[in-house]
Amino acid sequence: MRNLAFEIAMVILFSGFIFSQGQKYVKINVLSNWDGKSNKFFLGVKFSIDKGWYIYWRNPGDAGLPPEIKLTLPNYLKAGDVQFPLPRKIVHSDIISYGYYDEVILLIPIQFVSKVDVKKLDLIKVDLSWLVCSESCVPGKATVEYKIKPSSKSEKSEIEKYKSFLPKKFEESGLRVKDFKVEKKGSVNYVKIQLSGKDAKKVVDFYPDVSDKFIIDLRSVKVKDGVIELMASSTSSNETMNFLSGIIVVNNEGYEINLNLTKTK
Amino acid sequence: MNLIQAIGVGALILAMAIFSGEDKKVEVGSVVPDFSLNDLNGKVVKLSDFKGKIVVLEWTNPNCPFVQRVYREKIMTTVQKEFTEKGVVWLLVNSTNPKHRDYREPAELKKIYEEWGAVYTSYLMDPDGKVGKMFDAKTTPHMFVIGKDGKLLYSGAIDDDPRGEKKEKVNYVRNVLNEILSGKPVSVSVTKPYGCSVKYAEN
Repeated sequence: MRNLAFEIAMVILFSGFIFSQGQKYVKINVLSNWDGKSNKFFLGVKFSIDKGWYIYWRNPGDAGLPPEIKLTLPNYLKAGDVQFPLPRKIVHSDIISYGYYDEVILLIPIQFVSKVDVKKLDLIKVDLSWLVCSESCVPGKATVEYKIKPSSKSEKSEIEKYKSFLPKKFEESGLRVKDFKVEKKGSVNYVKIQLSGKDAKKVVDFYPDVSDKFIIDLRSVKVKDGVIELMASSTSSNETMNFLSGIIVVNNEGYEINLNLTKTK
Repeated sequence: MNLIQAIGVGALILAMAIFSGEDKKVEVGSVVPDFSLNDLNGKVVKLSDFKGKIVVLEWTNPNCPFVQRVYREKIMTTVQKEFTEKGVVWLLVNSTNPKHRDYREPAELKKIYEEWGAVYTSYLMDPDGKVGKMFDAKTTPHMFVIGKDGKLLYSGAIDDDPRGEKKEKVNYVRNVLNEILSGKPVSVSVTKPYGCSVKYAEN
C-alpha cells in the first residue's frame, strides 16, 4: 500500500501535473517544447480553469493579481521573463479587469547556458501562486517539479498555439505613431495617441501596463478611428506622464507598444 | 425673464446638476461632497458629522482574501488603533450588493470584525454602491483619506505589498496620516489599490 502511494506521488511529481486549492478551480500542468537537442525552448505553465472563473493578465486591471511563477533551475539553465498571451477585457459593473477564462499557457523562455549530459537532466521546480475569481476570488498555490525531457507532439502543439497568442512587436503591426499629446490638469494627465497605417482604424482597444508612477483610469481608455485616448493620475502631483506601454489590439492580435512621451514627434 | 422662462432655466440647471452628479467622481484635491449611510445599527451617519476632522474611509468585504489577510496580519488593525487614538475618524464602508454571495447582514459583519479586532468609528452599509461609485472605490481594501478641510488627500492601497510577502512594507495610509498630523503636504496622494473588486450590482 505504501509503495502504491509512493508510486502515485512520483507519477504526479514527474508528469508535472497537479491538482491544488484556488486549487479547486484551477488545474496546473507544466509542459515544454524542448526537442532534446536545441539549446533554447519554452517552458509552459498551463492553467485549466473551471467554467465561469478567470485568472489575471500581467496587468490585472482595477482589481485582482497576476499569477506569479518562480522557477528554481539547475545551474546550466537560464530563464527569461514570463510571457503572457493576449488577454480579454472583463467588465463587471464599473470594474475593468484583464484575464483569461477556461485555459491559458504562460510561457517562459529557457536557455541552456552550459554543456550538460542530456541523459542526466535535473528537475525544474516551479512555484506558483494565482488568484482565481468569478463572483468571489480565491487564492491558489502549487509547487510542481518538472523533469526536463524531449516533449511530446501534443506538448509542442499546445506551446505553439499559445506562442501564436503572444503579443507581437509593434513594428509588425504595420501601424505607426503619427502623433501624441500629453496635457496635464492638476494631477491628471490626458494622453492622446494618433496612429496611422493601413489598419489604424481597425484598432479596437488598448490594454495598458501597470506603472508605478501613474494610475491609468481604465474606463477612460477610448479607441476610435486610430486614436487612443486615456487619463492617468500621477502618484505625486508634480509629475507629468512620460512613458506609456501596453498592448494595442487589432484584428484579434496584440502588439506591444512602448512609447516615450517626452520625445517630440 | 418671465416666470415660465425662469422655471425653465431653473429646471435646466437642476437637470444638468443631476446629470453631472451621476458620473461625478471625487478627485484627489477636491472637496468631498457630503453623504449619508446607515451604520450596522441602522443609525444614519453623515460625513458632515465629522467636519473638521481627518477621516479615513476603508472599503471592505470580509469574504475577500486580501481583506482577510490584512486583518489576519494586523496590518489594518494596527493603523486603525494607532490613528483613532490620535482622533482620526475611521469609517469602514461595505458596498457589496445584497444579491451577491459575499453580502453579509450587519449583525454578522459586526461579529466578524469584532473577532478580527477591527477598531473603527463607524461601519457603514452602502448596498446600492452610490457612495462607493462616488469615490470610485474599486477594490477591497481601497483606502481614502480626507483632510480637516474636507478635501480628499489620498486614494489607493493600504500598502505596497499586494502579495503579502514583503518583510518591510510601505504603509501608505500611515505615511499620509503622519504627514497630515505633522502639517506636511502629502507626498504620495494616489497609488494603485489592490484586492478583490468591489461587488457592485451590475449596471
